[in-house]
Amino acid sequence: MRARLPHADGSHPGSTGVTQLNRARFRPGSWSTASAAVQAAVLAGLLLPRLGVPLVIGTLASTRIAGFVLTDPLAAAQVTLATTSISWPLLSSTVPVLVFYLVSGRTFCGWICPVNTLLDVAHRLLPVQARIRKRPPDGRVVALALTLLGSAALGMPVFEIISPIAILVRNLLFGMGPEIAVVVVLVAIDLWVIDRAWCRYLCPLGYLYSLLAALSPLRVRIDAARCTRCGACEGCPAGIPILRAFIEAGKPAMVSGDCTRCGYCVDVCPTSSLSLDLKLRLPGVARDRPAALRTQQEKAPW
Amino acid sequence: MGISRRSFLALVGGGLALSTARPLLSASPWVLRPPGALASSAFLAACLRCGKCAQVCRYGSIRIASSADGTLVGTPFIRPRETPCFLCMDCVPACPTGALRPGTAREKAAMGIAVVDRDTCLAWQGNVCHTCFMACPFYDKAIVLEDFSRPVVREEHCVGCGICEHVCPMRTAAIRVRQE
Repeated sequence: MRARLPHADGSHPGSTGVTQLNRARFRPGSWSTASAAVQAAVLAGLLLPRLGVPLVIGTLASTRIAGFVLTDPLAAAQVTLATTSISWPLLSSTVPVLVFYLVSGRTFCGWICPVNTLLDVAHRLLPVQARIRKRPPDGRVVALALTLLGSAALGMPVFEIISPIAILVRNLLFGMGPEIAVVVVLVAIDLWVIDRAWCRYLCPLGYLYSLLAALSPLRVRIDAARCTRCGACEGCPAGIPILRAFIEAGKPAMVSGDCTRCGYCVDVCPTSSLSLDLKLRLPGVARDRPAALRTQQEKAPW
Repeated sequence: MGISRRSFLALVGGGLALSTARPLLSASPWVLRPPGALASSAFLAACLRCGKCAQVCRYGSIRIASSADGTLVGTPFIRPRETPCFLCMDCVPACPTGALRPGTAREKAAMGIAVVDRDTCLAWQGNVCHTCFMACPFYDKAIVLEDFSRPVVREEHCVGCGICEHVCPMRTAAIRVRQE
């Protein structure tokens, strides 16, 4: 296998920047299989009450799992601003959620969010390519500001009312309403106009988790010696240019709050240069493997 | 540090989008809320639209509004003529935000007040009917019979559960729950 070199314009063969989920096959033990299984389990768990099994109660705004309440921190923030009062039971039910995402990163988006699950299914069933390739401005900060300011100004948790995530889950649990149009439009925009427009450029919830994810020890480790610059990892659903931004800069790991830890890049890498790594490493401790192993790998990188 | 023009325009545009989302957000006619619900605007501020109250309701009385239901989308409401509240109070501890006041007793559910339409009520029209009186969970307290025949609601005891509205034999219920 010969290493392909970047084109003169900086792009890479096979790299489009557009989600190419079908490249990640559902092999036993692959990250795509694991994340799809978790996505299915989340949907199944939320739908259990419809089958008369009230083991998991609620939507993703607030969920009671076997008597234990978990509340989305953004939802709790909106209610706190809308009511202008602090409810300690509500705020304490966000703590396990905050801790989980501080450690695991933005895994909500890649593993749990039903809108992302729907988009993943849509992308796998309809491998069309979005028309607009230019990146639109990142509106997530503004969306987060509007969510918080709007909740205080209107005296209601606005994102929990109009967000496609809340609308999708409520419509699945309590019956369809006309507001499902929001979700349909979102999927259509995603497939045909701008790839992952909602997740990458608009969703304030994903943005909040990407802020928390900055400290997460779960990272994509890069073995630059094995990388052939094939560009397969550039089909990342989160739109992170791993190849250009991290591999070419010689980074030992991809550190990004926007990474949803979905494992797509690990699955599609033909030379196994990438891996998801949860090892907590102290700063200053050498990340490289022993020199003997390294030279051996440089001789035969794959 | 200033705010960029793009961010400013996005904020203004987002504000406009929020204001056009009024059908989803704006106040609407009064509806019967689950027992222990805070007063209207406080309820709308605290309700997380998570739907737990509807899921734990063993009678299926609590519904979650879609944008076609005439009340704020995602909020719980009760149509007593179809399924009233039987005051089991299971929904109250399920609420994560206190939009349904924690520890509310069934006597303090304060959902609404039943009102008798004396022009259509069988008993008030001189016929014999005790249906609402017999069904009321606060028997002989919230609904009493005047002269052993005509139902009268005593507001200090009625919590607005809607069982009377549910059982009324008239085609259009002659006793209906109204805003307190």
